[in-house]
Amino acid sequence: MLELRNVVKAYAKNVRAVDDVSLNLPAGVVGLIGHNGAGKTSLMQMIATLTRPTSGQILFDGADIVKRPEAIRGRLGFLPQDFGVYPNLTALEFLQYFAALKGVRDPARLRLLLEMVNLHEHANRQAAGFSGGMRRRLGIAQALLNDPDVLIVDEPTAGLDPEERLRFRYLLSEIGFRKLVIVSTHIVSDIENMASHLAIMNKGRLMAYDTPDSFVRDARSKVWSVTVEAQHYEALRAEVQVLQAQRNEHGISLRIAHASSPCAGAVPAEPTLEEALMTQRYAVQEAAA
Amino acid sequence: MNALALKLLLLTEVRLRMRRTGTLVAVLALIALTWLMVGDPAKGVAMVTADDTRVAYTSSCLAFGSAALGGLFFGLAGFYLVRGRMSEDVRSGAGAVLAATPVSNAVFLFGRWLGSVAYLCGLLFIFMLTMLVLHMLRGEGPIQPLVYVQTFAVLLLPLVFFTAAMALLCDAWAPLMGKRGDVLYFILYLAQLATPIVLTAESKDQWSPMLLVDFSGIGASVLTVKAMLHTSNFTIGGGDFNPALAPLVLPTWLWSAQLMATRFGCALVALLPLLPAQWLFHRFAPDRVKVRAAGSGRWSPLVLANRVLRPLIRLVRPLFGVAARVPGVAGQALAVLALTLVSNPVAVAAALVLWIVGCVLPAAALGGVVIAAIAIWGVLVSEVSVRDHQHDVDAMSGTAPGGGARRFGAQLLASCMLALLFTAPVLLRWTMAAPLRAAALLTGVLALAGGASMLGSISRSGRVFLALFLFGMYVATQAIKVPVLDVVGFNGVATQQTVGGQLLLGLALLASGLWHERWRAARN
Repeated sequence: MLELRNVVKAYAKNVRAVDDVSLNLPAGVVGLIGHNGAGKTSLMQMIATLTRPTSGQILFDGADIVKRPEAIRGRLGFLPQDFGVYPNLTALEFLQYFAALKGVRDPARLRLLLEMVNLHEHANRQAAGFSGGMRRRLGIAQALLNDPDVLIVDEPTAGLDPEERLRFRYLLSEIGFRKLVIVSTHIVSDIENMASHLAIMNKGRLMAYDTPDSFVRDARSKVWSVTVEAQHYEALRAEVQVLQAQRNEHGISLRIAHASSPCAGAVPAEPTLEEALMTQRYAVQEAAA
Repeated sequence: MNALALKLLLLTEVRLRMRRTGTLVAVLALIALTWLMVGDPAKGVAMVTADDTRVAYTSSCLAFGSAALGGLFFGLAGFYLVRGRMSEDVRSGAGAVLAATPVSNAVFLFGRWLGSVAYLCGLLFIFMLTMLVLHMLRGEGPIQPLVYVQTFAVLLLPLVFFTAAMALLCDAWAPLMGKRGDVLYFILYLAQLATPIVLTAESKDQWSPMLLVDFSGIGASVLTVKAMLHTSNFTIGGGDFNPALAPLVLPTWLWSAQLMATRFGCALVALLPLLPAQWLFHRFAPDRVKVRAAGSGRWSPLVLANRVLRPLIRLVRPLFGVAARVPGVAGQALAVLALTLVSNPVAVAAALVLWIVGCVLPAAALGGVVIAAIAIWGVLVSEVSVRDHQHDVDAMSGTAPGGGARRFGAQLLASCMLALLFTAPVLLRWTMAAPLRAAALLTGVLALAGGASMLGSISRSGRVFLALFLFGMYVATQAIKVPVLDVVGFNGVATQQTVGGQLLLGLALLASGLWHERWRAARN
């Protein structure tokens, strides 16, 4: 569906926000993961045709959208991380405006989307008075207006309460059955139950691209669990990567990322996706060092 | 601590403002203005004339003339360039951090004021350098930098103080943040511009205490010219002269002791807005200033009028549906037009009133209708090209079909549509009775809409266009016989050449804007 070929985005001399990224993205939910400055937003902005790559190609159903951005724009939904609303406009008018921009003619779809994001009772309220979570839901409705084939969402659950977060995850999963959903997030729990693939980025480069199960499988035998006495904790921490530390009545319970047993008494533990990703990152850092 | 805090505040303010695109635009406008104000005597036009005699282009004359004319520009553009910093702080969240620092209100506000003064003085310095270059080309006699410095200081420093102080007051007091402050200052600017002239005329060249509020120095300039050239028949800014007459020469020192004392007093009076700014400073308290207020103002007559007139948007809401059915840039332009009208029900009411008066008033009054229509229109379109950016919606609208380039075209087209909505009856009547005026209206709207879109796109602020637009409107309504200033035909003196020029300018701005959007997409 979407293919990235050697995509590079350079901002200034020797500063590459995205560095030679190649990816083939079929329908499904793709989680884009990386720390701040990893290049996730730059990559998404290029796919959303907001900016152009310095070099490389982005193909959507075979069409080069760098040269012909129109090939994707009509079939794209985009929800940026930070966005606002116009003052003096109700939620419904806000959607009407974007529907007009996108050529969406069906007024019923606007009502449907407002119901989908649970804003139907606030359709005629001024959107500027909405809370952060309500605004985000309105943004989600905006992104879904044209029933997009490619949905790009940046930190989608920021500001949502737990119930809305669950509802939104379910919505994205459902869309991902038929379409491509690219989700950028720092919060692994947001995508671990819905992503079909994960793309890990670091310093502009694509470090790994695989299914969540594969990341977890690779991390097995690299995550260890052990309880140590408090006085030994500092020394151990200086030698190994501690993923989690929790004080209990026996000392400090640790989960550690390490290629082999990090200390006496350590036992292999079943990694979570978050631990698997951290383990993968540490392995890359060690290899680079 | 206070000295260090002041220094850092000052430097930060100057750096922030100097790095804005609006500053670059202002500098370019200043350079253009400088070249326009110093007429070429070889072509029969001189900057200062008295009784058909030109005044020689000595340092004294060029400094005096440019300072007197530059004050008009600085008084208006300067305010819009320096204000709005507190709104930025509120929007960015830096305001809360600033409020939690130990810096006192007095030091903070004085630092901000000093920063504004230093920035405006920097612009004045650039203005002066441009004049020195012109002196080399057209001047007569040696270049005397000190004459320029003392003339600029005497005439323009009170204005700089006042502009910076008013900008600070409008930033520091929550009710004046947003457009209300803009409007208040514009009224004050016009009032202080007119008062000294009226008073000096009435008091027959005698000193008047009202000269203490002559911040722009117009009154002082008038008194000085009368005293130096012993005539009331003079022009500053471009007048014809008799080349057979020997040019007059202004002395290097133009100021009487009384006038110097007046200008000093005027500079002190210019500081008065700092007192209410200190008393009323919100210090970013969330209960006094909110993010929304930073952008638009929590309550104002305009907000109230928009609320009262909100039922009127039923008339224009169907435009969204029509826009969705019209393909391409025209559909998006209709959507932008609908957004503008739905966001500003007052505009819908204004359109209805303008239609009625445009149909029923006699032909002689149509110029006034167009002035009113274009004034309202200018304020509205100053926001059109920056609205998406200011409200953080540009990333979403930029992914709509056509992307940023089409969005630019749609905004420009929507601005033109809005003008047509306001002026349609007048345009129709002029098309039949005065085709050249109709052409001037159409091409003028295109050029102005191009300017609004281009300046908004570059500076990401509506204020640059608004300042230049209001200044231009003021000048155009005063100089009613100058064809090039009859931009939309309200004075009825536009020529085929000016109409053609406006058309070319509008098309050039459209092309430049489209290129700029594509360039920005590639660069970002």
